[in-house]
Amino acid sequence: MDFLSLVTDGLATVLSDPSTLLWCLIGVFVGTVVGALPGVGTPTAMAVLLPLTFGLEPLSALTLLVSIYLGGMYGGRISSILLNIPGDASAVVSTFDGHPLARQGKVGYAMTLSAVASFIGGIIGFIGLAALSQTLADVAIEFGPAHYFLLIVLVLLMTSGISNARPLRSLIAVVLGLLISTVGMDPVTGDERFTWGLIDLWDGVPLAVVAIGVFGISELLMRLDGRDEPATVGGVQKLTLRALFPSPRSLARYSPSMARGGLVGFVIGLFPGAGASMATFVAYATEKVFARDTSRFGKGDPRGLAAPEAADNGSVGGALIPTLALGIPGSAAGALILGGLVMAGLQPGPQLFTASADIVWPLIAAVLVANVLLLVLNTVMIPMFAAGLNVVLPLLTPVITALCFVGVFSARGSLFDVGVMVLLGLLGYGMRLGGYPVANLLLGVILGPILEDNFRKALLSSQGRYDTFWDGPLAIGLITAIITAVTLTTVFKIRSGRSLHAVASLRTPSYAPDSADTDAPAGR
Amino acid sequence: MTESSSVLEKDTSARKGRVARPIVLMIIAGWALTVLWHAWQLEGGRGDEVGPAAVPVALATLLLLLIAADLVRFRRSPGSDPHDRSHWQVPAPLVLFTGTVVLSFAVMNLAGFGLGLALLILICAAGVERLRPLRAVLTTVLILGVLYVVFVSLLQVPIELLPQ
Repeated sequence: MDFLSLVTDGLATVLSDPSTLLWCLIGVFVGTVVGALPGVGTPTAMAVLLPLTFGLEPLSALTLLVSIYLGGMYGGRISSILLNIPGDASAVVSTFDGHPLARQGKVGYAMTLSAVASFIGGIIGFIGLAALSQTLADVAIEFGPAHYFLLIVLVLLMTSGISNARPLRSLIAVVLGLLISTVGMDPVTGDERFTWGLIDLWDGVPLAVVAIGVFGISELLMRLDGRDEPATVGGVQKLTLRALFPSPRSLARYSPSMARGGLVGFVIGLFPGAGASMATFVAYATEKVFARDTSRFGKGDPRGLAAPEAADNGSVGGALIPTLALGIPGSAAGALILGGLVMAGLQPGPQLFTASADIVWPLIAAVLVANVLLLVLNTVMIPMFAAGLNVVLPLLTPVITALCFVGVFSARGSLFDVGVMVLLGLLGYGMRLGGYPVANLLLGVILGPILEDNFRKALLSSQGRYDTFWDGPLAIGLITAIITAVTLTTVFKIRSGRSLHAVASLRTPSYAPDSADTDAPAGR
Repeated sequence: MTESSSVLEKDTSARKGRVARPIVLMIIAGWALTVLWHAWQLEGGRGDEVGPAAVPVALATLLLLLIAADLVRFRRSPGSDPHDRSHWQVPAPLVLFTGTVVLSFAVMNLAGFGLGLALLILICAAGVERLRPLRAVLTTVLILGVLYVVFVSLLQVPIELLPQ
């Protein structure tokens, strides 16, 4: 139980540092607000606010990003329950029973129950993160460059296949991202690659420029295109504090659902590409299996709200493990946290737990602090959030636009970067219209340098022998995992394609890129 | 939202997707080809010395193959006539926003980042979100003030507001 003392020390660091606490509070507040805004996903908020971390201490910067991530998970349910409009993909399931509860006049009950469920899920995720990340990091020390290369290939394939309806388009987005990451000076030979002689491109395309362009600007364009119409919350009822608190008996009754949901979310969150959206659906299905009477599901059954909410937040802890322990994110939000680690001058991967233990354990402890803050914020301040949504929505375009421009310009004071951001925003907009997930592009950009570096190191250490990629049990295990992932994805796609075909034969044929195409991988 | 308007919206989205998909693929393919052409002039490397061009060439080739496969799938998909642009009107706010971004970018280059940003926020507030003029100006001042306090005062990030 060595991790307990490490977490305790980390907790002491966070609680004794007012600036970290303040950024944690700001992060959970911003995350909740953004998560509640329909159409503006958590990765978008993280990408747009990434430049805020430039001037911060590493711990404060990373705490801010993780807090936004967690806040987004909590916030997503607000518009699901109040408006029947999910804040993002992983909040879709919360509409099934959350909104019917609200329509029955139990808005406060639904909001608080879901907040408590989110808290319990978040705590389960935190315990798993604290207990397992060090172990995984210890195992990962055995990894050589060839293993890392194979692991990244596995992650990229999984993020392209598992949660996505269109693996081919996801692969195109991933490979495009990988190719963008090769722009700039070659780190080994110093050759200029694809810079067209532009000095501004010698250091490559900065991560913040790509992230803000493909998420922030394209999000704005999509909203203005009318596909993500800003919703109004004029119909939100006035909530009293008294109406917000469910009875302890009610909370105790649904705590098994929350615990199951949290566990399901944590386990699914561990897998790259599966993420929060899949976790919520699986948790909902699991709850139906455990329930004796399923007739109330979809009509306002509290179990149908508690379990997916717990899963949504439980998945965060799971998703952070590969990001911190292996330096390999499995989702867009994880990728942005990894970007924050790199920008803070830290080396993601197993060494993080030894070389930067003074950062990583307080960061893990910050997950606990953020969850506690979120529970308070999402119960007591729900009436304020509901009213605040009305104020913020009409100002979204100027606020997000200004944040995008200032964010990119503040990094290097370069208008060239601003221009590249706009171009990438237009590309991202086109990709989203065409059904190409921009999150996969970002994953490619972030993992590209690690992929290439390990590929070259592996061949260098093996003196050019390619059998290094299938030499030894670890490599064979990873290759087996890759083959299994590809096979399962293919079989799953063929089977789902047949069922879709059967449904389509009953309807008018139509081409429409669905949300799964654009928002995958991993929900967040 | 009525069922008919929902169907209409989905149909419009589908049409936009049909038009956007080949255009995006062509842009990406064009860039991949320039990468291949550029990589031709770089050292590909051999054996244990993997050169700077090796991975980009492999990626660009893979990307072109994937694009070709996607184009084939697109051609076979129902209703895939890319020339069908009937009833697709680009929304006015989208045109206004794109034009404002271009204009503001030009102003940023000529008169400094600060002025360009103020113009961008003002037109977004007044034109895109349709706030009344006074409210739009107040919103612009408020947003600029908050950003200045957060970035310059609190985070001490140096931002050149005037042209260099």
